[in-house]
Amino acid sequence: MRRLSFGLVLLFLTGLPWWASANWQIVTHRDSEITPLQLSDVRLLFLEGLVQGKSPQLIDLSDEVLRGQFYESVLGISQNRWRAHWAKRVFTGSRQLPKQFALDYITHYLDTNPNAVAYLPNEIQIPETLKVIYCSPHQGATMEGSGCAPTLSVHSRLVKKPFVNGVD
Amino acid sequence: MKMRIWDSKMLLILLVLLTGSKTHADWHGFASVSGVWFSNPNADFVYNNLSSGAGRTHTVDFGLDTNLGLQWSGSPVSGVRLNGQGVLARDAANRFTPSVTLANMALDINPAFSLTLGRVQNPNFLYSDYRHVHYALPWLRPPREVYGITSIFNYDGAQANIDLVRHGDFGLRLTTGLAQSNTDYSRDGGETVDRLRATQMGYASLAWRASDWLIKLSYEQGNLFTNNARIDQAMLAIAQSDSLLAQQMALDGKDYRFMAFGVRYDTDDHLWLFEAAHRDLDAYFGRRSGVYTTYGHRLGVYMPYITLARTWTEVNSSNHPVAQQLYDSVKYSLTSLTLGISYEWSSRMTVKGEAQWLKPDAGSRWAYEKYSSSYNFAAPSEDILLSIGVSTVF
Repeated sequence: MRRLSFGLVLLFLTGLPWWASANWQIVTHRDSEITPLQLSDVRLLFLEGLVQGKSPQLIDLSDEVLRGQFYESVLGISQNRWRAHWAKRVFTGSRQLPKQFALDYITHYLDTNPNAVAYLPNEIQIPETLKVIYCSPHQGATMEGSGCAPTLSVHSRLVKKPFVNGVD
Repeated sequence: MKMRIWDSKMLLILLVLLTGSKTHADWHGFASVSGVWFSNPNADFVYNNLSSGAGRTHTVDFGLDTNLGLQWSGSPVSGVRLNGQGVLARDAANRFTPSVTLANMALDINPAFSLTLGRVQNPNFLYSDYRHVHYALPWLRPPREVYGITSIFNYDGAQANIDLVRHGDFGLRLTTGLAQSNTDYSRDGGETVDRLRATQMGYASLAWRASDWLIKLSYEQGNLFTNNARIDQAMLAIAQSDSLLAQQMALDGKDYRFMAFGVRYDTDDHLWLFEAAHRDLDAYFGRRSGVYTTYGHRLGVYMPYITLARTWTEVNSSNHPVAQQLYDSVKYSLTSLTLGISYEWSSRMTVKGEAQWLKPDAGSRWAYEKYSSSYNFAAPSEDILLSIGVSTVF
C-alpha cells in the first residue's frame, strides 16, 4: 500500500501521463530474419503490417486495455484513432488483420510460428527460442540478452500483478 | 433485378470458397442508426443513391444513415485472402435490402504488391472505400458536395495495390485497376428504379503518407450507360428537330473523367481534411465539381468539428426547350456549413450530432429530391438539417 501511494505521488509530481512509463518489447522467433527495429519500423509494422520488406503475421493482445497502452505509448496514437484505423483495415479487407491472443499464450504461439511478431510487457520473461527486436525507449529500457532490461517504472509496478500473474 | 442476380453469384462463389476451405473465419460487423430532421417541407434531403429522405417525405427520417454490415475475412492459404461484406441499408426504391459491398480474393504477391480480384469499393476519395462504416468516419456522413460527385462505388474487376516507396513513416502507394460497375438509382422518389452502368473503367490513385499527413490524388475514366425511359423519351423529342444535339446529349456509351485530390492531417489533437473532386461527362450531365474542408479538435472523448463545403455544376444551354429542361434538371450548386460533435460513448460506440446549414443556388434542381410544386427554384430558401446518429463496430 505504501509502495502504491509512493507511486501515485511520484506520478503526480512528475506530471507524466499514466501510460507514459509503460515499457514494451517486440518479440519474434529466434529464426526470424527480422533484425532489431527503430521506432519508425515498429510504427510501420503495426500500422501497415510491413517491416524490412517483409509482411510478418502480427499478434495483438486480446486485452483491450493493455493493447491500448501499447498503441498509445509506443506507436503514439490514441485508442480512438487506433480503433478507426482498425476499422478501416477490417472493412476494406486491405490487409490480413492481426490475430488476438491472451498474454499468457503469446510466447507459446511465437515459439511455434517463426513468421509471427508480437508485443509484450517488459516484465514477461522471453524463452531462448525467441528474440527481442525492439524495446520501448521509455525509462531507458535497452535490449539485453534475450529480453529488454527490466525497468522499475511506476506504471509497471502498478499494473504488474493483475496482468502477469501466472505467467512469470 | 440483374444487380441482385450478380450479387447472388458473388455470394455463391464466396460461400463455395468458404465451405471448401478449412479457413478460420474472422467475422466483423458495423452498424449505425440515425435520426435526421430537415427544415424544408417541399423537398427531401438525400445522399448516396437514395430517392427519399428527411423533409417532405419524413419529418424525421430514421433510414438515411441507418445500416448493418457484416464482413467475413479469411486466409485459406498463406498469401491469399478472401473478403466478403454485405450491407443492409435503404436502397433507391426506399426498401431496406442487403447488397454485397465486398466480394474479393486478394493475392499478396509480395509485401509491396497485392492483386485483388472481385468487388472492391471506390478507392478514389479519402474515405470512400469504407464510407458505410460510419464509426470510422470523422463526420456523421461524408460531405455530399464531394462524395456525391459520383454515384459509382461498387467496382467489379481487378485492382493492384503497389507500395512504390516505403521508408520509415514515409510511404507512397499506387492503387490502380480495371473495373465495371452497376448502380441503381431513382429520380421519382423510388417509383421507378433505373440503372447506371459504367464499363471500361480505369483508375489510378496515388497516396502519399508521411507521419500524420496523407495526400491522395486520383484519376478515373470510363463509359456510362443508363436505361432511363424518361431520358430516352426526351432524347427522341430532341432528335426529331435536332439529331446532332440529341447525339451530343445522350448518355449511352459516353466517356466520363473523374479526378479527386485529398489531404488529411490527423493527430491525437487535430484533424484537418481537404478534398476536391471533379467529374466531366460527355453528355447533358455536364461538369460537376465539389470541395470541402473539415477541421476537428480532439478533446478526450469529444471531437467538435466544422465543415465548409461547396459544389457547382457547369452545363451547356440550348434553344431547344426539352434540351434546356434536361440541362436544368442536373444543375446542382450548393453551399453548406456543418457544425458537429463526435463523442466516444464506449470503446466501440460513437455518437455524432450535426447541425448543417444549406443554401442551394438559384435553379439548382439536383440539390434535393421529391420537390413539391411549392418549391421555389428561382429563390431557394436557406435550409437546416439536424442529424444525430450512433454507430458501432464489432
